[in-house]
Amino acid sequence: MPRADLVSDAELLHDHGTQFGDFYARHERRLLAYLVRRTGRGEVAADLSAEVFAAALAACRRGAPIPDVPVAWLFAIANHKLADGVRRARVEDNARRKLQMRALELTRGQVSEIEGLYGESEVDSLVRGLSADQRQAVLAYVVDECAYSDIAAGLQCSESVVRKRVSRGLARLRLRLEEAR
Amino acid sequence: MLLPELHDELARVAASPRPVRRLSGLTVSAFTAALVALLFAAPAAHAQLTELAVNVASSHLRGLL
Repeated sequence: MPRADLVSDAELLHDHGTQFGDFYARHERRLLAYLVRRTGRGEVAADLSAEVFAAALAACRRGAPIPDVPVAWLFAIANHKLADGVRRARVEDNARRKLQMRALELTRGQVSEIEGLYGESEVDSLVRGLSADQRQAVLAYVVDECAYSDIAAGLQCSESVVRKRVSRGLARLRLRLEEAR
Repeated sequence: MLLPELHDELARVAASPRPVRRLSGLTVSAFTAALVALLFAAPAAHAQLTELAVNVASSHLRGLL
């Protein structure tokens, strides 16, 4: 099976969403950042996010066609749920109830962490979505303009490993940006 | 990850078997009743109507399944 960070969103949603956990991990931060910017409240953003992902998973499980750009579809669901929430003055939980999901219990720390996403840009979210190894290598090479040899010395690994991490990290960012358009 | 509990819950549901959609007893009864009514309503065209009714009922059933 290919590594989860190298496959497209659509591939993750194939087979009735059996790899939905990877899809969630990939887009959790971006969706939460978006929802906290729209609602201004961490708890509401988390609640809405759970409902949006549950609705997407429910669609995959019932065999609905997977859109070409799943992340755009995810944000369309989010906008729909946001509008519903405003109209009803509460966040729906229909999708979560249908899937018999347990209720989300948030700690104060989680709420404040989500609210901390308020000022996070789209690029920040994408970079944070990389694995720790890739993020470290990409930031050192692209932002700090370090040489491969210096990064390798700092991370105590070979130059070829650093090159591979930078290359894979940038490839993943490129894929995410294309999907986001 | 900010909400690992949500990730685990979604992954659990995603890995669980999907429910099988079954026809309810009421749906089957309604189709049977409609079929019988159709046959009795026009005995002269019995054969043609039987075929037509079976085709219609089958396609509806396929749609539901």
